[in-house]
Amino acid sequence: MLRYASLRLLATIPTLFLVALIVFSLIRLVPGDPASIMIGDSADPDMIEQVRHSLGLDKPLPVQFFVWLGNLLQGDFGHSISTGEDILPAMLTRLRVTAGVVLASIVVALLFALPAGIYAAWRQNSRVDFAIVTGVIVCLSVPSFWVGILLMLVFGVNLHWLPVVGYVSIGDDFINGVRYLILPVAALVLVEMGTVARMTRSSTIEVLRLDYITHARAKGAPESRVLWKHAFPNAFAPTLTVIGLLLGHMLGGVAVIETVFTLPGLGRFLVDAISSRDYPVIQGCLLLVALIRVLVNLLVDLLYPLFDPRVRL
Amino acid sequence: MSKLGRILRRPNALVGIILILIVLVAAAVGQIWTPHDPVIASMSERLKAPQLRYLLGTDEFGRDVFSRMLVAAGVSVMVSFGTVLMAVSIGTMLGALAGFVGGWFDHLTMLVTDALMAFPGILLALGIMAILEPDPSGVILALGLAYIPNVVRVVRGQVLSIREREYVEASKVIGNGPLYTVLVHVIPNCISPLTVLATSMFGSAILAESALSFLGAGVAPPTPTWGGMLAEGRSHMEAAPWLCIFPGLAITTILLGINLFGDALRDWFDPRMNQL
Repeated sequence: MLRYASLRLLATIPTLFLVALIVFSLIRLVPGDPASIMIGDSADPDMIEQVRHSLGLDKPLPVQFFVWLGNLLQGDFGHSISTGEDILPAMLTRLRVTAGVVLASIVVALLFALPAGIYAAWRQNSRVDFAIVTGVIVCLSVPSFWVGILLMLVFGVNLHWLPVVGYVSIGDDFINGVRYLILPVAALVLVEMGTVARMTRSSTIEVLRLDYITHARAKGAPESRVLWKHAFPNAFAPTLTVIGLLLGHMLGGVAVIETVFTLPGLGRFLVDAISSRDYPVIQGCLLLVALIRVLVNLLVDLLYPLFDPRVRL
Repeated sequence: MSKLGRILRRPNALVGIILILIVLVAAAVGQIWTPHDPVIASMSERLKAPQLRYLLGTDEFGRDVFSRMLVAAGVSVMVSFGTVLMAVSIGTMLGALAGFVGGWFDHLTMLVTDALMAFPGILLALGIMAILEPDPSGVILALGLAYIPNVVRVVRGQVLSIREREYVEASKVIGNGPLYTVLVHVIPNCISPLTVLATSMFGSAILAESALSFLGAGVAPPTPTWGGMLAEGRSHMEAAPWLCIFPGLAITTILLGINLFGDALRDWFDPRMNQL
């Protein structure tokens, strides 16, 4: 297990190296001089030269790359061009907001989607199953940012029940923090519920067809025991993979939701950086998100055998 | 009745096809005719509620929402189609070569694929858009690059299982070159998983295109896009809620159509459904 885990960890190194190379090349592909694009063409040549120098743009490309990589490994992601902030701490503060929204929405999604998926599989082809399957397709077809706007329109603008824009940290003020989170989480949760319910349903259907389930039923085990004790643990392993993928996917999807609700998260940091051509921030955000995704996938792989003992590491 | 006929006659598939057709027809109509000019502002007509003259109302510049949505349908369909075409053609070639040739080329392709897949697709496309022109071809390039890795993985997996079949061996034995073997014997066998993948990719490209233009990183104004219209509508939510409703409804319509149709398509290609 430990050997497998360390091998897998080692195997992520080339991937992460390439990720860094891609992010680095992205900025070097900017047509024209990145420094003058970043601070505007009208800027005085001395200042452009200064930015070029501070970003190391006056050195040969391979040197630039390895200097940059060396700084990254020491936790130095550089400084934002537009605000001068140190990028790593700025990203970590915003990551807390993003992680809060994403994790809360995944927990809510699981609470609804796991029972729905299992029930639909247990009563396959019934009316309830049909309703759940239709619900899944609808959930997967409605863009989350549109749901967000509609929720704002109904609960914020018309009913005035919940705040429409802004953010209060749960740590500072729990009740208000939760009030600010409800709408963004509700907007994100649909697509997650759809994905998880669909996967749970199909993996539970597969498992319920197996002989050991018939055996358990033949022994006279009550249905609830058959479902939760015998079928669910096996059916959950593929769902776990989907949850891992979803977590990574949501790091992208949340950018749009953060823009809708003006949450100060990592996604909006990136979107704002793109509109202000703040290349060091763009690089930092892309790298951080990719790193998190690689680590989450690794974690899911390592957790898999806990749920499916047939998989040996 | 053929299996395809039976599957397409299911209510789900039928509804899916109808929804897709509605949007495709709207996109085609928008290319040749719109009731009003979709781009020119007319300040005296701003923020009019839906009525006979303006079916879906007007926006903050007095432009007809219905006309803009027709044109936006064309932009969305064209960008998504271009994205799928680019991702499938490049991804298939790369995936087939990686699976068939193997060796260092395979290792390198998979390494790059893994690295690209470490980014959430929409963020990668956002990052690429930071260096491209905000026009349809720029968006196609950004989304296409973000989607190529998915195609490479699917095709490579398929090729690895086909590579060992007797007919591929036979083709090699009679002296066909690897390129010929790949084109004539290997790629045609990838068509069913590719069709399913391309369909779902088309849906996800529609969504990604809207999200990019919503974030202001897609096709630039004044060209109308559904995402851009939603973004503009947000500032007039109270006075003109229709601006926030109709473009989202259009995106949902086509996504619903594609998802319903895609499910039917998957059943069609699934050998376990043969006894239907």
